[in-house]
Amino acid sequence: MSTAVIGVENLCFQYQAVEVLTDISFEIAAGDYVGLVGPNGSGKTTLVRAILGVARPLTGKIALFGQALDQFQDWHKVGYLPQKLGGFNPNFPATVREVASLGLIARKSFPIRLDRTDQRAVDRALERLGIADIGQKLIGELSGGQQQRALIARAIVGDPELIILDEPSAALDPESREHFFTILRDLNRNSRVTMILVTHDMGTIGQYANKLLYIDRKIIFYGGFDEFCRSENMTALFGEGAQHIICHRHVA
Amino acid sequence: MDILDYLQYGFIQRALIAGCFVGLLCSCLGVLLVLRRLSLIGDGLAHVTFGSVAIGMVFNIYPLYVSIPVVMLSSLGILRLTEKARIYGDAAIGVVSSLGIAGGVILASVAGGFNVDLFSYLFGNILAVSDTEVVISIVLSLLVLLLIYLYYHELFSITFDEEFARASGVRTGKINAMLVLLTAVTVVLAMNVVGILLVSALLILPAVTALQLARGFAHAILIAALTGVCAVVGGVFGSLMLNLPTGATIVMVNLLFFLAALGGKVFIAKYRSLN
Repeated sequence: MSTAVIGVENLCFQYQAVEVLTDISFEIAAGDYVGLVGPNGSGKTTLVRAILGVARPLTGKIALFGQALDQFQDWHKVGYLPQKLGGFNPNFPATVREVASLGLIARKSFPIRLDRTDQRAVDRALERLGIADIGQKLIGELSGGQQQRALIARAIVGDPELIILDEPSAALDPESREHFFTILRDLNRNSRVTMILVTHDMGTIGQYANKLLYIDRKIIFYGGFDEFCRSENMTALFGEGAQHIICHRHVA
Repeated sequence: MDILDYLQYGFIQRALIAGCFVGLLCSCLGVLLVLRRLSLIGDGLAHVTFGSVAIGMVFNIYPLYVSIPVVMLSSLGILRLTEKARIYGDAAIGVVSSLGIAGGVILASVAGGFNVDLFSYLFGNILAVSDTEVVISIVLSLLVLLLIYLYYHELFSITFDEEFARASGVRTGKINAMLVLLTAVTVVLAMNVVGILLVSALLILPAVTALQLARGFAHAILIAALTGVCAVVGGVFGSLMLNLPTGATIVMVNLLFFLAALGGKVFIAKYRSLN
């Protein structure tokens, strides 16, 4: 496989004998901002979980940063925001700082100890997300939007080279959303952090992503956003008028 | 008799030393188990301990030597059933737990029925712990606490969000196996303190007390540890002064701590809402 940030080759995934993903192959290069879209049940989250090694595919090869997934050790290069905000117990006694610091453990070797440099990294991440003032609050005491920001802080605190976000803006209010996507754009443009953004919000994809991966159990389209906007797929997948909503906001 | 007078007796010193180490251990692990919704694993493994004690008695082997490996294997069995047989953790605990109890009853029956020794394991007798048992309790407690200290961040990560932990490179399978193995050792050690029937109380009560008050994960473990140790000390002296069974008194002191923490939390919430 090449040294793309992500390389997926002939990936098939079955869940209880039902084929969820069929013959998926693509590569994502460093610095790409990829919008991963598709209808409900199309396999987006399954694909993300397979890439992260959380779910085991039936067949196929996955490589991260040029290394086969089962050999991959550099997990500090990957930041991840899972889909379910409610994936954790809301009464969990963890402060925002403690949650954010979990994003640093992939950088550490055994036995893991967090030093002052790590604490400063947590400070920076919380400040960046505008939640430095609630660092000592319990995660369960926060609003959905604040919880989401704490989890985003966890995803970016380790300065990853690849960030995978699964429906990240669902719990955010419009102002926080704008702020959040600006942070992601800056990371992508200034630090060349590769982004994969799973979302249903085509407007957001149009505004920020430079590539689109559209799947519905198999790849329907993968390529540059401009190419997608000019293709027949555009109208076929999203209907008349979608051009305005999706492509109008895209700034190449 | 004054409280300090009790301390001159060797059996009370041994009970306090072994009890405090085991109480500390149960409390720290309890926080992890309760937050992972594995609270009842203590109960399930305690039932297996009953079966393993019966094996020891039938074959005339010191029960602790049989219980530790058997309960450790059973804890891995629970984990395996959850992963491979696609059944929920509570059902897997139920399967292994019923096997332990049924096996124990059959073995005890084959060996000529229940005797006083088996009942002493069911209800515990901390005042009868031997020097050897104290040493075993200290050594194993220190070992388990050291592992919790070394793997603190990994344990915190899988307890908070297992999927994220896996995506951070944490070997969740290994950490989960370690957690259930540590629980197995802890349950066997706690058997002497409160008895098989009340082991889960020693794991759960300090943890749920801490969860009422804690302002962070590390804070929760610290509060649980303090609660667990204080309950053992309070329970040992309380039982001596009131002439009550020690294991059950330790559990009742733990329950009082929990009710006080819960009451305090409700009171503070109401006070804040009024102001």
